[in-house]
Amino acid sequence: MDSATKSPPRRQKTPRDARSAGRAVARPRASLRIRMVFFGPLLVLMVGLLAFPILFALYASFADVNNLFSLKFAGLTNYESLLARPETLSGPLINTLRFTLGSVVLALALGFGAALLLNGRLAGRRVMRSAFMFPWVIPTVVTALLWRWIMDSNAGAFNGLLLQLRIIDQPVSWLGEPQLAPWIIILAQVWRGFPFIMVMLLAAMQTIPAELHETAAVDGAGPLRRLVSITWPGVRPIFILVGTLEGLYAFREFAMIDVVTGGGPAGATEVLATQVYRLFFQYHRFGDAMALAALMFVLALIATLFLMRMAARGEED
Amino acid sequence: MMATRSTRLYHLSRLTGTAIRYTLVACFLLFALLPFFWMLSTALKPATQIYTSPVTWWPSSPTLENFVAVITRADFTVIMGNTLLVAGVSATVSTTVALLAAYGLSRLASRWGELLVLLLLFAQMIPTILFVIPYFLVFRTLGLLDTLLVLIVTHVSLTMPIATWLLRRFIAKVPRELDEAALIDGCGQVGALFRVVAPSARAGIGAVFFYAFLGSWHEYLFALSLTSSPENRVVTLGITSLVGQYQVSWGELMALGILTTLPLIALFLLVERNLVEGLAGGVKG
Repeated sequence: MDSATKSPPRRQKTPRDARSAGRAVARPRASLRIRMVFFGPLLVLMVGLLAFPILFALYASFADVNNLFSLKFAGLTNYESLLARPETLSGPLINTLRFTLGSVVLALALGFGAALLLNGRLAGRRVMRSAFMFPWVIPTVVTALLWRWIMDSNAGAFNGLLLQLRIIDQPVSWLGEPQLAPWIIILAQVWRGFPFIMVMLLAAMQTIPAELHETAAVDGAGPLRRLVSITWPGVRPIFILVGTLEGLYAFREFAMIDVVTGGGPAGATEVLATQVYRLFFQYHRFGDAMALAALMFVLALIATLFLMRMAARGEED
Repeated sequence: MMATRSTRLYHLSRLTGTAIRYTLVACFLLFALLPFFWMLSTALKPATQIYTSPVTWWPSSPTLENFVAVITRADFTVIMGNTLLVAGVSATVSTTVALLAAYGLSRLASRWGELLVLLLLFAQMIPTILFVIPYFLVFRTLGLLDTLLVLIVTHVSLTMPIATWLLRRFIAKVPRELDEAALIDGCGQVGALFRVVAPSARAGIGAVFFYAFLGSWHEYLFALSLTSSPENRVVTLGITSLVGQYQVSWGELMALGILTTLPLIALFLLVERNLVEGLAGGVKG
């Protein structure tokens, strides 16, 4: 095969080849030209559309961006300006953490519960799995508007239902109360997020051999015991991964918050992403926006590294 | 005696277990689907039945007037056309670039391969808002703000990493003998990919294309910050532009929401099985 592909002769086996030998036959090293054909477009786009903008944004957070053109290095000026008004940062930071943690924990719990229910014999499981995925398919802005309408204080379905069930006797302004509105956007985010988690966990559960459960049951392990000792270890890596992804998506979520509440009432749902947008495009506080965006990046980076280490530690066990 | 009683008890507990299970499933389904019911019911209501007390759960005389109003408004065809174009082109570019890279990752030995995969995952971590400002400044300098091209380019940046990551699994599943045979028959590596490997992996490619298409169709932040004029509106902006005005017509909004989601639901049902398989497989490593 080697001669037919006109590839250079097989190189000496390196330790790396030996490691991957179990997965695949040792492969010929392709020429640089061939490599460029396959990886070139991706690399160009990654450098141009991902790496360059990130470096640009990080640099700009240390530059004088007041007129958006000169970009002269200015040290920590932007950060000092941002921290001079700590309320610009503290409120959105707390709201972001609440939104992220709240929606991830609830979406993981619901997703795991739903996956457990659908795992095993159940009439119409395929159809149900499709139906569960619908919230994931519809655009975020549509989801956001739908929940804004459900939670409408005058004619929304939620108040209508609670009034008819006599759980409340006055309409509640769900999105008008600073104590309630953050939980409503979390609810909307969970509604959109849990189906994806469910599908991933369900797929992981179905790779666990049924014999494991049967043998354990014969040995007298109850459902709870099997859940802890068989199901959980089987889904743990995917659980951590989908939790991480869901968390990162929630952390950077913009559309849901912007459309449901616009950051209100009184800033109660303003998150970092919407705050950066507002600082830049509405208040034209360009330097503050760059500094806050860079801080967001650092926070996401720390969280990712932490979670990756956690996932890696889990695999060593 | 004992045996029958315990068997009966066993059956009873099995039955209760099943009943509880179906009840819980029903609760989950209600949570997932009731909002859709409300969406449809609102879209089918005449304007007079939208604000009622108590709430009208289902219109007494369902009407399509909201759908008609939304479709006949001039910008419906504009936003749908723009979105189809942006999502179609950006998903095609993403999938093609991803296909080349996925083949490379799977078939060419490379010591940078694993690093590249890690970087692709890493790209998922970066807050989108971080990209918005550099894109805004660069495209403003290039005079490209407020064009569909900007949306196509930025959507590629959004969907390409995950597309590559997912496609890698689908390509790896195609038996190596297939492309080796093609190579012996005189195809180059590129020929082997497009004539033999890609057709064998077409179900997976379709799923990844859908994923990229969905990502572009859903995208809101780039559209909001990089385009402004009505003729360059995509559906996400078209929908929210109905809200800012003096009064929100929830019937029309829900009708528009349904109309702009239907193509996605239809595509989703086509690729669902492969999509789920690919996503779950991609995660496993």
